[in-house]
Amino acid sequence: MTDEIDSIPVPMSRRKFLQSLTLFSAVSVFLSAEGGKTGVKSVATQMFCPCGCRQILAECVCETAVKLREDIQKMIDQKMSREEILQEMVRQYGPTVLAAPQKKGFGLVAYILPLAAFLLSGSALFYFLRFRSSVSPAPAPSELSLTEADNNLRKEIEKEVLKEL
Amino acid sequence: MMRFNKWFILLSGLLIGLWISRASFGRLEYARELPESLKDRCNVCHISPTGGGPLNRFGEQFAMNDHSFPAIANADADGDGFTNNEELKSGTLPGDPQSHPGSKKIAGKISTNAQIGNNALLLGFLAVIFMLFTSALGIFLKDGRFLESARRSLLTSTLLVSIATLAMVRAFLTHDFQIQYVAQHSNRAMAKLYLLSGLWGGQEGSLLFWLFILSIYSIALIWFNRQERDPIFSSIVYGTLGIIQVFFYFLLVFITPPFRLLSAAPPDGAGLNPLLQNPAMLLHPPNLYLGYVGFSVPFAFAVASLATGKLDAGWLRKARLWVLIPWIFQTVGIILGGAWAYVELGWGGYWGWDPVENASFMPWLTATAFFHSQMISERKEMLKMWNVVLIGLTFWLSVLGTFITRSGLISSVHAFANTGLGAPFLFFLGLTAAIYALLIYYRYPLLQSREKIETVVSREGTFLLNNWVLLGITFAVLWGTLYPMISEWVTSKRGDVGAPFYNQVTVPLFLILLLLTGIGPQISWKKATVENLRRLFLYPLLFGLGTVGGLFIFGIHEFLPLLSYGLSVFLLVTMVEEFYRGTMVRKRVKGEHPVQGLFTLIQKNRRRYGGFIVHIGIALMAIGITASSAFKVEKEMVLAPGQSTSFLKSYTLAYQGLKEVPGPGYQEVRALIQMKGSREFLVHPAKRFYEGGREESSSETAILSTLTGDFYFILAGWDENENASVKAIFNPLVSWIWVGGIVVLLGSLIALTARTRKGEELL
Repeated sequence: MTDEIDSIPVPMSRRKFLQSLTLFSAVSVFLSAEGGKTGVKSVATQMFCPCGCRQILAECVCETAVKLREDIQKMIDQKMSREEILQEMVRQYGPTVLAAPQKKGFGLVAYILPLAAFLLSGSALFYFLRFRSSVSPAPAPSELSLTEADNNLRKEIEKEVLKEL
Repeated sequence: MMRFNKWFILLSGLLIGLWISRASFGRLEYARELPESLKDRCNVCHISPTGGGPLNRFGEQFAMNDHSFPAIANADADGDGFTNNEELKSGTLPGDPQSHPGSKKIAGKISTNAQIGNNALLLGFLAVIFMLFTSALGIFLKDGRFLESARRSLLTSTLLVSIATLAMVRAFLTHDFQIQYVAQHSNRAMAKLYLLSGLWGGQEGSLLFWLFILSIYSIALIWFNRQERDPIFSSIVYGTLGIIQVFFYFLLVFITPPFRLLSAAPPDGAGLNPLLQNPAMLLHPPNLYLGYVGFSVPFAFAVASLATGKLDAGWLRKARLWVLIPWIFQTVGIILGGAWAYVELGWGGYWGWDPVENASFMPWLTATAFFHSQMISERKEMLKMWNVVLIGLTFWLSVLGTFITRSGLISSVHAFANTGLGAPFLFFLGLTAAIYALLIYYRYPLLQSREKIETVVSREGTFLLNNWVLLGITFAVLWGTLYPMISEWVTSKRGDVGAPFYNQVTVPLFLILLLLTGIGPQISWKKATVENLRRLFLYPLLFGLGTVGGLFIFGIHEFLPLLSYGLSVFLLVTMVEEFYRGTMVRKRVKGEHPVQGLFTLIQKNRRRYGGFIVHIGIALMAIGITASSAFKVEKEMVLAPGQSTSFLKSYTLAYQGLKEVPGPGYQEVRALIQMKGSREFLVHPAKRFYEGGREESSSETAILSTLTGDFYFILAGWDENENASVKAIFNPLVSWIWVGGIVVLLGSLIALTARTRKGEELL
């Protein structure tokens, strides 16, 4: 513990941090990718029930939902893709029937912004914690500059570590 | 003390004068147009009987027609069947559908509850303003007597808001329907217990409840601080809480008075939303409010620390307890909300990413981030500013949550102005954020880190990543919650956001969080070596990979569920291993029996091991959430009486018919279904039809719960031949979520009982 306090910290390189950041983002994008074959459930989970209950269509038990799920099954039987079915639903009930924004126009912002904010906040965190600190570093504690308060703090920490063991 | 009392009386007189002049100012110009009996009634045009705030429908019509009454004389503003002219002539309110020439006014009898409540709120408002003055004087003159006065004013305010809250509870219990809020949220048929939940069942009551809880927290703070040591610090803490109280008092006195009176008491009320008449609803909202409101206390600590420059690890240790208490309440509230949705809403789920759910989840996430970053700050001289930001963000998101659910902003951007709450909330949020940001800027030199993170492969590094991911989730949820309003504002078309969006954006982040939760508490400080990593994570990794492989062989091939199971098991094993190692060390060194060793281990370091128990609970919940989301089996069927159908290969469902059962305040129609498998059960999903003003029904699901999964039945409807439309669901491992929730609660209670350092004060 004494070594930890007295040693001069070696900063993590910016390259390493950016590598971690990229890895994190790549994992996030990879995991959030959509997939799977078209079935009633895969379409109905992407829509609200248009009866006004605001439940996901796949979960609602009202008559409207039951009828709509039958309609979706008919569209699947006609070899329509998930996107085509959703477009047809938007045409019939308006864009508010979709439970997630479409990935075009302003809807695209809905998906991009959280990722962009995630990356930017990571960069900002890095900037404030590393770069900013290294521009105006606080004096590193040394044996010569130890005050009574520092000594007390060290004793307190040592006591806590011993207690944990 | 005499001098303070004079000040109080002088200030009260001044404010009452302002109040009266303000109330009468608006109507002077138009009062000539009104009949004599309505000249003193502000609610002819305004919603509030005391005037000010938003206009009612008649007031809006009047304003839109350049304040010309003849232009709207024959219109019916409130849609009660009487024209505006007819209503004004007969002395009833043209903007209030409950008041019309057909209803008779109860002459000379005004609700005592309303009188008590209104007066208590007004006096409480004055007391808390007086408290702000004395706090400010105490700080500037450095005089402890002012602090004593501020403390007493805060106690007075608490007493008065408690009286107002009790008056509202009494109004519900005595069916005082002259109070509009009581008439809107209760009726005579309601069970006594649910009458209580009327208090938080609507907007005005919720705000009153907010203020009541804030007062209770303030009292608790005063109690813990009875051995006063730092009067300036305490004055700022009390002052900050006072400012928050002033805001809520302002809303209750001027914008949405909870004791607004109807011109005539209806014979019965409209009743509470049937969905809210559930035992979980008696506990879920109070817990959430205890969470939301409680985050004001650490915020007050942070303001005081920034203002006084006392930003060492000491304030963080004090703040930790005051974050942990509301965090526990918030956790219980969120879990109870999930349980309520599961049992009551009848769609087989427990979390719908509804704006109200999101509002409770966001401050919980930032408070969780604070616990982790605060641990680094206590150990190392870093992340000081980050902690301050997290505390501010948690408070800000708590108020924002109340704002977005109470302002009408979510239903439509155009509803923002209609409730009258939007502008004051926005002002308060902006003001507190600006002042807090200025304080941070002012104290920037004291908030700089003295130490640095060497590598991500360290405890501080993974805790920081954990914070980053938690904040990432918070932003994604906030963005999704506000997106409908933003898209409506930008494109003039509303773009709604539901579970598919949130799942897609947040699930990857939750999975990363599971991994970090497993790694963070184990890994070495400063920099972990390869040997250290191997020693700590070899078995968890093997168990995690083994789980993935085993499940793959048994037919689970979906990528995300496999990853989630693998990570959950990884997390579980890291935590169990930690308990095992500690117990074995005690056995070796102290010669204790493993069971005794385990208990002593936890008892000696409650904070550390309490946290680990919380992580075990999270892992159990993650397993339950993954299974019930990814492997739910559903079957919809229409069954005639006597008809049977198969379910899940090994079960048969035999429908016997419908049965009508009366209950307190409702009629219930049950579908009787016999489920035959290895054992036989009779289940009866039902629909309840409530008596009273509301033409609403609620779904009563039938749930057979086991550790492997829940059999969940919903009665969707029936026809005249008793053919019932039923949905049967098998929800695997859903009870693990509730068990995990109990484990989380247990762990956090253990952490709560961790001793503070000797001689350390809680304020």
